[in-house]
Amino acid sequence: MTFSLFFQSLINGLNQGAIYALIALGYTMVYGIIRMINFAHGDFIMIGAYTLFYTIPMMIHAGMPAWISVFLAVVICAAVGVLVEVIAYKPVRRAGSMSALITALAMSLFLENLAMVLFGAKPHNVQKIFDLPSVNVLGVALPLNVILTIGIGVVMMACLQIFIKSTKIGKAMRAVPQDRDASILAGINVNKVITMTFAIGSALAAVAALMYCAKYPRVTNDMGSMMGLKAFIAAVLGGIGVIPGAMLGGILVGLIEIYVKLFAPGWYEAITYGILIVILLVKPSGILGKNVGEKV
Amino acid sequence: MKKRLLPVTLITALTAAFLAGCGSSAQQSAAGGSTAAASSAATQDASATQDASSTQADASAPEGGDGKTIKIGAYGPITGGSAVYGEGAQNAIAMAVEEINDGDSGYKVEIVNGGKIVDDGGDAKQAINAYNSLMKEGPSAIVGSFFSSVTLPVAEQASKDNMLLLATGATNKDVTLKGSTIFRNCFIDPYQGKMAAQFAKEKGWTKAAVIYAKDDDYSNGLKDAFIENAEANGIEVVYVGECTTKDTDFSSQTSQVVAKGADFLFYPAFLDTVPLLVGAARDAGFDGAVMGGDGWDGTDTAGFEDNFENCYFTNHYSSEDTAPAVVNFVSKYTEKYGTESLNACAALYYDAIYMLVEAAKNSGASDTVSLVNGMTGMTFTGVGGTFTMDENGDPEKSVAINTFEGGKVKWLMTLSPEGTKE
Amino acid sequence: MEKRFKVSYFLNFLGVLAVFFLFVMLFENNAFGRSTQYIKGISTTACYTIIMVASLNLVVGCMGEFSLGHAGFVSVGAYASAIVSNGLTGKGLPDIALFLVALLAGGIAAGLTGVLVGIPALRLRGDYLAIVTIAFAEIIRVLFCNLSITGGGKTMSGIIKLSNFYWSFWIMVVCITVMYMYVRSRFGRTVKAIREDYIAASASGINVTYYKVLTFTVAAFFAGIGGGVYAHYMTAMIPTNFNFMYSAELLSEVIIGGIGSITGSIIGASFLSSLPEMMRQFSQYRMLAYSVVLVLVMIFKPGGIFGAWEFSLIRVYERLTGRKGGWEKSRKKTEGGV
Repeated sequence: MTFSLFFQSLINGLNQGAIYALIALGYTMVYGIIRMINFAHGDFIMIGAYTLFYTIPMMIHAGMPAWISVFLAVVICAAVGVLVEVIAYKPVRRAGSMSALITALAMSLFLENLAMVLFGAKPHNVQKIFDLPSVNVLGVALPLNVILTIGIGVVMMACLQIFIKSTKIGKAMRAVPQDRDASILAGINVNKVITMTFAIGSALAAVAALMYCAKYPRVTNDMGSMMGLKAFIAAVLGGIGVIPGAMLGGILVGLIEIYVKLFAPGWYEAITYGILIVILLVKPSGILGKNVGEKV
Repeated sequence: MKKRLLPVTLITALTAAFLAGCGSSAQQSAAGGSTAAASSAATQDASATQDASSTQADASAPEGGDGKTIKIGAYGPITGGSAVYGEGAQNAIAMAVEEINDGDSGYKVEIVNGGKIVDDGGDAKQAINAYNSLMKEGPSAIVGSFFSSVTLPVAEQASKDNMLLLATGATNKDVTLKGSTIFRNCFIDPYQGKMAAQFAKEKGWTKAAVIYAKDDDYSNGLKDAFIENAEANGIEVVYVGECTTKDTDFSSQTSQVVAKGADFLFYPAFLDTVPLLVGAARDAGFDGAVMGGDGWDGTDTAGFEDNFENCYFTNHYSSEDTAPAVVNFVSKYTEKYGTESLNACAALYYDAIYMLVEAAKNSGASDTVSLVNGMTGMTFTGVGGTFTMDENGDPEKSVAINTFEGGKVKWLMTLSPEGTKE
Repeated sequence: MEKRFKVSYFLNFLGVLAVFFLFVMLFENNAFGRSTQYIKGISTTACYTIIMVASLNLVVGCMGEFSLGHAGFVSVGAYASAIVSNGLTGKGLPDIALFLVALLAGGIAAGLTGVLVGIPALRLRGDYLAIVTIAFAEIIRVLFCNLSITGGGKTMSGIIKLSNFYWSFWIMVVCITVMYMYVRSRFGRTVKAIREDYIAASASGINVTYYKVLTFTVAAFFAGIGGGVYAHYMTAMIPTNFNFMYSAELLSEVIIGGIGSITGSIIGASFLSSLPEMMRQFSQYRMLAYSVVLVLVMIFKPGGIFGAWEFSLIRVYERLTGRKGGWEKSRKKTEGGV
């Protein structure tokens, strides 16, 4: 394998990994605060992507750069996230994590099939969002999209960290998973905190949708489920509930996938899932996570 | 409790076996369950004496023993990712039926299930149910479907039931091998792969790369045929890459294509992922030709127009072909239904109905056995050109090669086994 | 065994026999006319779906854990049985023997897979277990895509069509009976105890891992048998048939039918597998409707429509004859609920 192929694969891996990282950010944030795997997260991204599909032409028509449409997507995704939470997740919150998981799965199926009914099952092509050139580095093409995606990811991550650590709401968000009853006693409106978390997580999904569509300009109704799963693997690998872990996990999963594709292209999915199994068995808290024991 | 588990289970199992034995001997005349009901239905049809009181009888067309009405059942992908194919098929069938019933061929066509195609959703499980639901209407022939993975189980069952199945687009070579009553009106995968290799040779490309979808019959079939024929034609296959039908990222495979210095990339997959692959290939710096099979028909090139320069695909027909049959079909279809669902699937289903009428004319009757006789070895001219059915029930057809200009499909040439033909 | 149990089993057996003869009469006398093959096809589909759904219910209801990778076990059973039947055909075995041997091979293969998956996976619980089962199912699918004996990603066709309705019906009856007995047996009760309070069960000396893996394996075994019936009915299959969507569908059917209720599984599975046919015009909305029903069920009736309730012929009999509690004349009334 030549050096240029190796380096090109590195770039490809970073590119893909950056997108996984963005998706994983939303996942890990919701899990970190509500301790619930939001199966439907990938489908929020799908909704964001469809929104972009419809709004980008409008933006271009109005003479504005295409990426402005992400703001509308953020609003819509956040609205959908809050709606799903209020209608489906809140009633089953008390019933235990089993019911929550099933409800999340059901919402995921619902959103996917609703999209199919509304938009048809045929894939749609999204118009080019960023017309960034490719820089030639060491003989391989480095699309500046990659740098942009990673940059956005780092910025989001930093903002989230600051938000969680410094603001009052952020502190409330940290308190709720630690001890829900104590939080209520301390005067925190748990419901509001959870709703806010979903809103932020879904907004992140919209940003992830933007960068995803920049690289893979195609939306279908079933793009969410596998994407969500891969992002979940990334989040777990990096440490679920830990925000920098999402970035780390995402990049790692992206790199591993691309490199495995070089050698054993038929097996790369198996390897990715294998990583998940190994991590969950060996160190469930992930690379950056802390091991919290189970209270009896 | 546990002590009783064993004896009770044994007794239950033994009794079950005994009764199953009784049940199956009682149905020996029913021949292993499902076939008898169907074959008795088929023989009922063959004698062309329809029970006036039989349920599901269509009120519209004249029933009964005149042998001039061909009852056809059709199934296809109405829902699912390829719904645009199903839509084309439905429209084309409606158009064909109207033309034939108004015409003077001496035969009338009746599509069971109220003239509608039964949906198979592109899924094999649904297809078997679709087939069974068609069979209960007592057709003389069944038309469909476009996908091989869907048609294979149906062909197996149709062969058992001695029902004529005319596959419209299923290109896997095993389909017609299931029985002598199974035909198809499209070329087969090995043939498409061979034609692609021939095209590459005529264009003078020497280093080919292939990326195929591992979990799809169609992709596998074309890839095998292409590689075999490329090597026979003196083209070096420098890279064979795998992907799956659900993949979206092709950066790894396309980087390797570029690294190996190929000047031609063969990507025999379905329309959904084509824009992504072509985009990825161009991004990776591949300027050579990219080619696919009939699965590329209907690809949405919006937003990718420049990437699709120097791209080609083989197809069953081209809407710009100047042959009179094609012009007639295209203009009539566009007038009635527009161009969105005008695709090869529509053309194939359209031809299929006409082929059955031709088979009836050849044999003089419209029941299944006669239709099979009439179709064996038949020569037919339609939208797909002129072709003859070979001993397996496959047609020997020419292949249309299309390319893209400004994102729109343009007909480049028609290739027949003997060489280029404009 | 107490007399009540014996009577109960006998009654159930009579009930099943009655249902079977009803079907035989309907089909043999061509009661559905030309639709006979169609209805038979749907009924066979219902049979194998019932086996699959009931086996998943063992995991979900009895063990209280979610497995979102059940399609993986089904696929192992389907492919294993297809390979065995293709290999043994023409060797002079009568069809029924060929079928049973193939099914057993499928079941055993799936059971072994269940052990292999269960041992690592069942150390996790809740959300993580669900995700890990998805991962394992996907790995199994990729495995089949890469093996040439299963067609290597292409459709494996040419499987002998051995699944006719009558055999499938009785195979389903036997499977359900065994599963039912497992749930009512000492094993089943132990697993339920683990479900209720994992720590207490473990503290009272139960080898939790053993029982969990055992239940998982039994569930996988029956899933494999269901897969075998499926393979010999469809005669052709491709690894993508057994994807996550299929697992999700099976799980939905379990939950809608009733977690822990085998009756619920039977009714739910037969209803939901024939529903697509009855509602052909609405096939696009099928999964949409499933998901809505699922959400509604989770909100309003989290145990599923039937909950843990089981239909019992003996209760009907008791009500008719007023025999309740009067079975044992000389012994004290025992608890032992059936």
